[in-house]
Amino acid sequence: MAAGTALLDIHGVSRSFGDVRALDDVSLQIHENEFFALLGPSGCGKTTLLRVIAGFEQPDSGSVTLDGVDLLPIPPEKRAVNLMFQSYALFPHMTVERNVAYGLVCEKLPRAEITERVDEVLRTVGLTDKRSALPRELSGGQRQRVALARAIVKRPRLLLLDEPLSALDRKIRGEMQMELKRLQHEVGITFVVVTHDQDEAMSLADRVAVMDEGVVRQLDAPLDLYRRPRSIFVADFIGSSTILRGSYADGAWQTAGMGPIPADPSCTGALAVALRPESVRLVAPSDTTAVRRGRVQEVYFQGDHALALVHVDGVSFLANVRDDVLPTRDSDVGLAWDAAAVIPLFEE
Amino acid sequence: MTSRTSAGVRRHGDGPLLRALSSIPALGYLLVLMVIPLGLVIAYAFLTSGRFGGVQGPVTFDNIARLFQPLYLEVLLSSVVNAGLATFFAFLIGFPAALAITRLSSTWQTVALIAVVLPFWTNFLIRTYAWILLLNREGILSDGLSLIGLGPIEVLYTREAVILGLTYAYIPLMVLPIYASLQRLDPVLLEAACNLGAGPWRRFRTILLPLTMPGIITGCLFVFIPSLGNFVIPELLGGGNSQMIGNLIRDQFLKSRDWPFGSALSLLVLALLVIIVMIQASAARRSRKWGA
Repeated sequence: MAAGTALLDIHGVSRSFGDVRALDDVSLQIHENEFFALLGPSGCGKTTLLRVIAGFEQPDSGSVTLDGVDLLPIPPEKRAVNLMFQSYALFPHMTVERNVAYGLVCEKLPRAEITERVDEVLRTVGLTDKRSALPRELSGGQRQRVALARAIVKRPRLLLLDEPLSALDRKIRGEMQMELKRLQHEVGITFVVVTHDQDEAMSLADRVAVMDEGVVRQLDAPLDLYRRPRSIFVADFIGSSTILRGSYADGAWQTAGMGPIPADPSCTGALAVALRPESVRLVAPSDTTAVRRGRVQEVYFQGDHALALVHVDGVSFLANVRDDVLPTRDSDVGLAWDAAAVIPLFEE
Repeated sequence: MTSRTSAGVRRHGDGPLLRALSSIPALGYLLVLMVIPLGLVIAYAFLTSGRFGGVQGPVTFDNIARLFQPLYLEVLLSSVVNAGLATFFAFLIGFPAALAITRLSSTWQTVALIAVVLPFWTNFLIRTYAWILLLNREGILSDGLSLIGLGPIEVLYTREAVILGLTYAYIPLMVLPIYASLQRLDPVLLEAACNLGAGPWRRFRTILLPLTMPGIITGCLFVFIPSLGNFVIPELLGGGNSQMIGNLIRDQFLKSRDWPFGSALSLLVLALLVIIVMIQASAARRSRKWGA
């Protein structure tokens, strides 16, 4: 994946607010033309990192370079980094056209070039007919397009997007998600999206850095993040799974509450294991492949499949059900999985 | 029928009457304190002055015609300039002050706002007299400048003293509305402008200034209007040299006993202020178009 050179190099960046360590020795590299996501719960430090890159926040220590040039001494208004704000921050007293042109006027470009570039970017986001409208006359989705247009018209080396889809309702969110991806390919700008929404990060990004308490817990492609989470935090945060603490011994995972269950030797030395719902099969209680027997507590219909919550010795398992006949609540079922599907987790 | 229905019917029937009754205090207030005095001023402006004050017939336009004599227009012009300069200096000091207050923690904001309105708890005349002590030849300003070899100077009884007095007297009325509109401004907009490449001056000019314009205009009116009509400060700090339109009007009523001309001068000031308030109203309408 993303074999390009490092465009942005963040090295050992720390930032504290009083006793709170918002960023704790964060190092990561973002490549040219990459769609990168910073994912984490609120307060994990992702927004602080974004503000450090944009220049609104100075780190206590560490370095940030863009194209090999030290970014930290450069004031925010001179950085080749643009930010799409979560609230969009459109100027309410300016038309769409003037909002978009603002950054180019700041660069003191000739008027003809400004007009040309504004026209072009308004065509790209499909807002040519709204050019004379004021922000308050636009819908949420349109406002977002203006905010995006205003940022990309500057042709920054790096475009930062702060929770780009959080202010939109669900249906438009899906459309804008595809739109963002299309735009990123079209304009060829490196995108860094900051989000707490794993679906957003997983579906948009080439690589995702999962952050927690100021630390990057794991940096991987979405698929690897999902299939091979290294820590209990990441396994828990991304997708749903059943997490069982214990240790690997005698060819099985020795759980604390429910005895040994089948697992690979790859689980040797792990703190816990995770089981994804799609790895767990529901079988008849008498089935010979059944690893454990349990009782169905709840069935959640999801459209193309259903999710069954099964209690086994006080432990809740989630299992995908793709059968036409859904299990009924309080029925006894058997649970089966392949030893290879058990994901070892080596960190907290 | 049921009591509920009859109550409902009665409420409907009483609505307009109750509403009419409840508006009587407000209408009475406007009638007694606005319409009647204003009607009298307008009527007096077209009458002839009595020998010992008061008015008498016949109806005449002489008073209005006299307004356009250069002598009076000059006084009006110099009053407008004085009030305008006071407004300008009040803005120059008041805007940064308001901006500084918004950057304080909420506790200190309260303290600062109390400090801004604190002078209003003291009598206006006493505060103006205090300036006499500060500005006269033996005052603190002159003595202080003498120490560094720039004095003594005579500020008291000059036009500058009048402008200074007006600026001082009304500056809180500039700070408060500007503070209110700065409070409503989303600070993210300034960060956005910065991110798009705008330096401090451009951010001020293109974002801060236009978005706080309603507050600025309100503050300017709050300073300009009372400054224009003020006659106490020109009297106390300007001596006889700096007559303003307010002094002229007062003199017509109390010294020259020419009520009709005093009324005509009042109408002139009123007309000027109506024009200014209309300009403010149209600016306010424009800013409402931007939405919250």
